[in-house]
Formats: sequence, C-alpha cells, structure tokens
Amino acid sequence: MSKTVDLELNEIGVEAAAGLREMLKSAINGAPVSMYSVAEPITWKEFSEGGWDAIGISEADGGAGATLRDLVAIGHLWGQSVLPSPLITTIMAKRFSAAAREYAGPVSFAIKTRSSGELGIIPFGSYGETKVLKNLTGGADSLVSTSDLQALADDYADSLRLAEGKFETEFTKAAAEELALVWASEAAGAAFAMLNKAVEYVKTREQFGQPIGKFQIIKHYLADAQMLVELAETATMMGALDEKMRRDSAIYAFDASIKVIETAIQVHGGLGFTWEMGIHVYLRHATALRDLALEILN
Amino acid sequence: MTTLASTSAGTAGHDTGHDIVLFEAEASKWLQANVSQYWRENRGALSEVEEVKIRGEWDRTLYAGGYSGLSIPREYGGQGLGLAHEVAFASAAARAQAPDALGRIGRILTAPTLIEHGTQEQKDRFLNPILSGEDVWCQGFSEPASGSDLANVKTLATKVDGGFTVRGRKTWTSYSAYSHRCLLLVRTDAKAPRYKNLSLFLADMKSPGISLSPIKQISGSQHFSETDFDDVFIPDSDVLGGVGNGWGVSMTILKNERGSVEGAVRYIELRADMDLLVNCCARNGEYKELIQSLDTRTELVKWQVSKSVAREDDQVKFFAATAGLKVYWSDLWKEIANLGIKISCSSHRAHWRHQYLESRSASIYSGTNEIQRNIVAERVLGLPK
Repeated sequence: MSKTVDLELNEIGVEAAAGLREMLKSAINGAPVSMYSVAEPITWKEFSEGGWDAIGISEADGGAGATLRDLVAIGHLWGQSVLPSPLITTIMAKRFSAAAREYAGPVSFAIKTRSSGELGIIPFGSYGETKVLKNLTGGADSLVSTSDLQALADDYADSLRLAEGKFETEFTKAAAEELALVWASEAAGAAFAMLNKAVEYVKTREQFGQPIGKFQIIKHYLADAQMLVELAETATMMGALDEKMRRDSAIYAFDASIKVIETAIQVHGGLGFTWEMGIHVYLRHATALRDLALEILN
Repeated sequence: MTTLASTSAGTAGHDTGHDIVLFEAEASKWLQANVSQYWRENRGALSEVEEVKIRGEWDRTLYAGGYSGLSIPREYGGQGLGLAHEVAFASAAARAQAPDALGRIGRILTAPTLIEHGTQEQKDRFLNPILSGEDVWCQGFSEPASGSDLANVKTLATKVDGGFTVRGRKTWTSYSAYSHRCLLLVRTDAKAPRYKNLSLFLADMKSPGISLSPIKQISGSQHFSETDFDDVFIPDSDVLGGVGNGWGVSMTILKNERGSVEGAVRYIELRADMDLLVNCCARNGEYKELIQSLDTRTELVKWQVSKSVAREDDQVKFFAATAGLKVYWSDLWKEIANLGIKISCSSHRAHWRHQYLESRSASIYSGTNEIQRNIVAERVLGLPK
C-alpha cells in the first residue's frame, strides 16, 4: 500500500538514457532526418552486442530490470531522433516473451488496424532479420520470420520500415498497454524535437521586416504546443506509474504530440510542407504508431 | 496503490514517500469527518452570503485541524511541510469535495510573498491571522484603465509624514467586502521610469476613505467590486519590500497566483465537477469519449503539479512545468462546464448554470490566458518580444 514511487528514473534508466543519447548523437552527427531515415546510422549488431535490446527484461529473467517509467524515458529520447532501427519494439518484445529473449535479431509485432483489412502491420517488418512474435500472452510463445509471412513493404513511414503480412500477434492487456505507452512516449519525444525545431525557425525566419516569432499568433501557437509537449510527457509518466491511467494516458499523449507536430509544420510555412525539411518523418512516425497503439488498446 | 503524493515524495526534501502516503490517509480521514454534508450537496447553488460564511468557517476548521499553511515554515506558524504535502492534501480534499478557503488570497499569495519580502515585524503582525482564518485578504492590482498592462497602474500614493496618501480606483477586487487587508499596487513616483515607479502596500481595508461599489457578474454573483481610494492614509510600516520595488514584489505574487499550490487547489474543483459528470449527469454512457478525455486531462493537472514539485530545484524546468498551468486548468474547466450545462440532470441544473457562467472568468482573471501564452512563448521558449 505505501510503496514509494518516484517520478524520476531508476539508475538503469538514467544510465541507459545517457548512453543512448550519446550514441544517437554521434551516429546522426547533424545529418538531416530525411537523409538518415532511409539509411542505417547504427547497425542492429551494435545495439544487440551492446545489450541495448535487453534493458527492459526483468532481473529475474536475466535482464537489466528497467521499469516502465525508465522505458518511457527511453521512448521519449528515441522519438526525438526517430532513428530507423527496431530497438524499441525489440526491447518491448523481450520484456514479455522468452522466445524473443532467445533470438539475437530484431523482434516485432503484427497488428491489424482499422484500415489494414486482413493484413497485420509489422513495424520493421521490412528491416533485416526481423521476426514477428506470435503471441505475447505469457504462454508458449514463438517467433515467425517475415519471409515466411511473405510480408510486403509499406513505405508510409521510413523511420519504421513497415511491412504488411497475413498475421496478427496476440497480446495480453498488460503487454498491450505497456507497448502502447512506450510508443506514445516516442510520439511525445518527436513532438518535443519538432517544437524545438519550430522555435529555432521562427526566431530566424523574417517576414515584414521582423522574425515571425515576434508575431503574437505564432507565439500563441507555440505556447500551446509547449504546454502540450509538457503534458504529453507528464501523461506518459502518469501512465507508467498509475496502471489504471495507462491506456488513457497513451491516447492523450499521442493526440497531444501529433497536434504539436502539425503546428510545427504550420509555422514552417511552405518549407514545413517539403520532404526535405523532414518534419513529415516525425508526423508519419507518430501517426503510424498511433494507429497500431489504438488497435491494441481496444 | 500508487497515489499522487507518493510520486512526488522523493524530492520534497522533508519526508519520505511513506510518510506522505500516511499524511494523505490521515488528511482523508480528517476531511471525511469535517467537510459538511450540506456543503457537499449544495455547493454550486448557495447564496453568496451563505457560501462566504461556510468558506470562512472552513478557514478556521483547517487551522484548528493543523492543515493551514502546510508548506509555510513552522517559525511562521505554518506546518513546515513541503509542496508535496500541499498536493497530497489537495488530492484528498478533492475526493472529499472540501470547500475552497475564503482566505485563499492571504494563504496562497500574501503569506509566501510576506516571507520573501516582508520585515520581521510584518511577518509577526500578518502571518498568524492569515493562517488562523481571522484575516481575509484581497488583491488590488487591476484598474479600470490598466488590466493586462499591469505596470501602467495610475493609483497614486503621495508621500506624507509617516506614510502615504493614496488616491485612485481599483477594480475586480474579489471578496473585497469580506476582506480585512488588501495587497495594493500603487504608483509612488509620478516621474520615475516604468517598472521603477511602483510600490506594494499592505492596506487596511477599514482605513477611512476606502469605499466599495459591487460589480454584478454574469453569473449573478457580486463578489467583485470597484474599490475607491479617496486620500487613504497608509503608514510606512505597511509598505512591502521597500518603496519603488512594487513591480518585483508583484511578480512574486503573480508567480504564486499561477503556480503549483494554486494548481493543486484548482484540481480540487475540477475533480469535483468531473465526479458529478461521471457519477451523475452523464447517463447511459453518453459522451463517453469526451468524458474519458476530460477525466484524463483533469488527472493531468494533478500530475503536472507533481512534476513541477519534483522539478523545484531546477529553475528552468520548474518554470517550464508551471508556466502553462493556469491556461491549462482554466481552459479545461471551461470545457468541463460547457459539457455540464449541456447534459445536466435536473438536480444539478443550478450547479452547472453557475459553473458554466462562472468559469468564463477563469481564462480572464489573474492574467488573461493571452498574457499567459505570451509569457510561455517569451520566457519558456525565448521568442523575441
């Protein structure tokens, strides 16, 4: 009853976040997201050999024992760069599945959505040796390879290397909610990054002889976006620490974050609408994850 | 069970999470025994006189129970606890549908400002009556010609022997008719540059020359007034923070008005309104998605306050976490009331009519939400002025 829960991270969360931040920074090295999202800045081998995919495994199962609160922080960090690598899905798969823990390659899920008909959408289904979990129900779980599913690539989100196959992973409520929350936190991280990008842009872009960030309407758009960024992050903390709020927190964080990314496009004007500016990579990433999350939450 | 209080416990610096959980449990028990059934059932539909009477009594009940001034240091008559305790108490008070203290301005605005800027004599004179519920304070900031442009106040204080003579008019003075003292922002120098010409007085509302004209609001209540100062004498001992420092002192007051304790108190009201919607007015699962979303957003007020408490030692992060709070809860309250008046059941019609009209003011008072958004944009995001 009187368990002490802290808003802050455990030691493993702090260390993992700091290490990962460094790794992402040096791999991306200032490159634009529209470029690195179609490349492979960090290979799977680097993540796997560094043990990064095992941080969410409980200590009892031989892992580092990161809490959901820790993983939410990792998700937030990941969302800031949306590196095209299956690290987050694999961390979550290994957290719940023994079969996933025994496989050294990337692991993912197949989720049928409202719009995908008979096909399950597989994040990173068109990435390397990704295998798909049959179930996350805690029982006898097993993996199936994407080539056996004859999965076809879907190019909506470069940062997620989507594929579609005739398959669907079975989830428990607990696994579905944790996965959805960590994905929502990726969206919150994406929103944070896009707000920062928008703020930098409106400080320097001049029209009518002044930075557009001086116009009150732009200030108010971005003030609202700032509040949503704060609250989306807070929602993922709430969802991590209060199981009853987990589902609704994830939904809130997705919606708030996507609104922020939309605002970032708007204040970038015509440039926001270009492929090259790269905001669309974040928007596609967040909206694709929301589709998947809403499906497993229902 | 994870309670809100325990989530922010680690950084409160006063207590362990375990103690906060115990504190919240005890407060809950005390609240259940002390909040009157009459208030719970009629809180939205009371006459102003009755509401003020109950809320004034509540101030004294809080004091007697040891729940007044939770985060005010013990040496000043408070409980010497942390912000985490304020949040825990607000959480328990929300569940118990406790009244809002009538002495809200004194407790949330005057007390911390006195501690920061007051002389020892002022602290000795004013803090205890605030905490005990004996003195109610009001806030004399806005004027008919200066609302959002606060630094432009025109009420003039002229130096005389032993003090100042004040002449001018304040407006939107909440609960002035029930107040003993006023946080009064005046111009003490007709020539000094903007921001350097102001002083903050701790005015005695019984001083000769003060007169009130009630302002009827759209909700029908009259707890605002215009307050006229017709050559009112204010002694030197009632100047807070030194002559010419009124702007800085006002900023402390506004910081508290828009800060986390205020947010925690607002959560109480929002939660009570949400509970009405969820448990009574929304029949047969009507508006399920909207209600779910409003409910999540209401809980987020509490968590956002907790997050700010956890960030207390980092000025930049603390400000980022609190700067948008007022806009967030006031806009949310309006949305809750919008739905309330639309789907009210027959027994809560008076409540929702009142809340709907009353909540219009929340995005206007204590700095309009437009001014708040400017603050977030300029001071959190660093956009050019």
